[in-house]
Amino acid sequence: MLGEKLKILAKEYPQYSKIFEAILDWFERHPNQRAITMDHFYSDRYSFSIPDINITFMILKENAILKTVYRVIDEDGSKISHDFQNLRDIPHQVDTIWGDKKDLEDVDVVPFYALEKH
Amino acid sequence: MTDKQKQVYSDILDSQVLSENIHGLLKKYKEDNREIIKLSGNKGDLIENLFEAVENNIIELHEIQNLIKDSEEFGDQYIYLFSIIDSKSANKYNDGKQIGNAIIPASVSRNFPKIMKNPSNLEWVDFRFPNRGLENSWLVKLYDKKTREVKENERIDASNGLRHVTYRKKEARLVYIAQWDGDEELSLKISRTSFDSYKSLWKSRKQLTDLLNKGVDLQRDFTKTDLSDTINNILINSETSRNIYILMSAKLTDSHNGSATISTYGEDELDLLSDVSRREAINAYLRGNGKARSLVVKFLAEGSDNVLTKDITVVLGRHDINEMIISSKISPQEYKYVRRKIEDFS
Repeated sequence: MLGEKLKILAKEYPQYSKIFEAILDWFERHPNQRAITMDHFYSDRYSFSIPDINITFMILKENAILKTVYRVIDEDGSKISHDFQNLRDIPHQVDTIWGDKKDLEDVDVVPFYALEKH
Repeated sequence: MTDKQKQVYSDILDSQVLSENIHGLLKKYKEDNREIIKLSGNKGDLIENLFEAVENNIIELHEIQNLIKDSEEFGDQYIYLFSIIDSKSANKYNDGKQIGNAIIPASVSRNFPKIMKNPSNLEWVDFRFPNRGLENSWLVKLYDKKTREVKENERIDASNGLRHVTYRKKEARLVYIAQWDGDEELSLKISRTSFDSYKSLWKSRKQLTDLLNKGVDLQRDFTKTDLSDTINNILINSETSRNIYILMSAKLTDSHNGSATISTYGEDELDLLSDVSRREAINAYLRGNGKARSLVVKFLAEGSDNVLTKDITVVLGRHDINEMIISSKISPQEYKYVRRKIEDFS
């Protein structure tokens, strides 16, 4: 079903079809991971431009294929706590797995994209 | 209650006590006081309603004090466990009155329990014996503050090239607790802040033990409770105890004292042993005479027969062999449950 939806979108927006493909491929190859950043696709492995990546994710969100989740990341790039559906739900302080308390101003909150349920 | 007192209580309730606990207290009195007690609204509304209930003699002030007491004494803490070396010396510690007199000046203890938001410096605030009805037990509590400077702004003066950096002082309220269980265990509890380090924790522990020194001879009468075997037993038995707890992370040491930390990716991901490669890596360490030095365990509400209202994460042995870290604020019953479960593996 997801593949079908993406095929339709690829016909509608042929200039972004390769990025649609790359995103779908990533989710297929990483069944144990729930979400990915836009930043992942900005590398010479893919050779997509930032505006094109931005627009593609926007289209996928508008078509209810992807949804944004907010991930809290510490200075080592490790995930803290759990993913949040809404920025307002993130508390002022979060806890790492090993019991460190972190002020929100000392960590990064990064938008990730997860598949909507299909 | 004066406006000033009300403000202090209100600030402490807002910053220290969970909304659900304030809601729980109001709910207890809702049935007979439907006109005054309201259970809806945000945390500020609930706190305001709590004071309204006090003014109308529905809820007594000591119940609010108990809410604060529970939230300060259970969870969001580093806990260090000590065992008595010679059970004969337990008698000395069973005499709460004498211990209290030895460590706290009489002029200070007259005003217990003290409630304050941010003390200007170290302050004795409570001594109780017995503690929560437990025979021969006692608890002593102090408040302190911890300060750090946070960089707020930085600019370079173009006229002379000088860099101007502005720092803002940030303060956190600290709660120190020492409690004797009336049998064989002394625990020291230190509340967590967002600017703790190994060194600052060590200093806090040293400060607390120095303050207790007139009544509690920690070095002579007590020894650290070694959680190493407990940690290993929890790791080894995790597959068969998955209904009670799951593992989140483990720090393993090998026979040459090298180490590896194996973790899940986050608290909403699968547990530590769900991934085959992680499980095999841990087994390889254990087969090669390695050991788990520290462990992060999540006790599951679902397997607790309704004792836990939420899953509770406990870190064992991170900075020291006798250390437990409980990140979330929990109830006395939840604390008792977690301790009992850990005890089962000792």
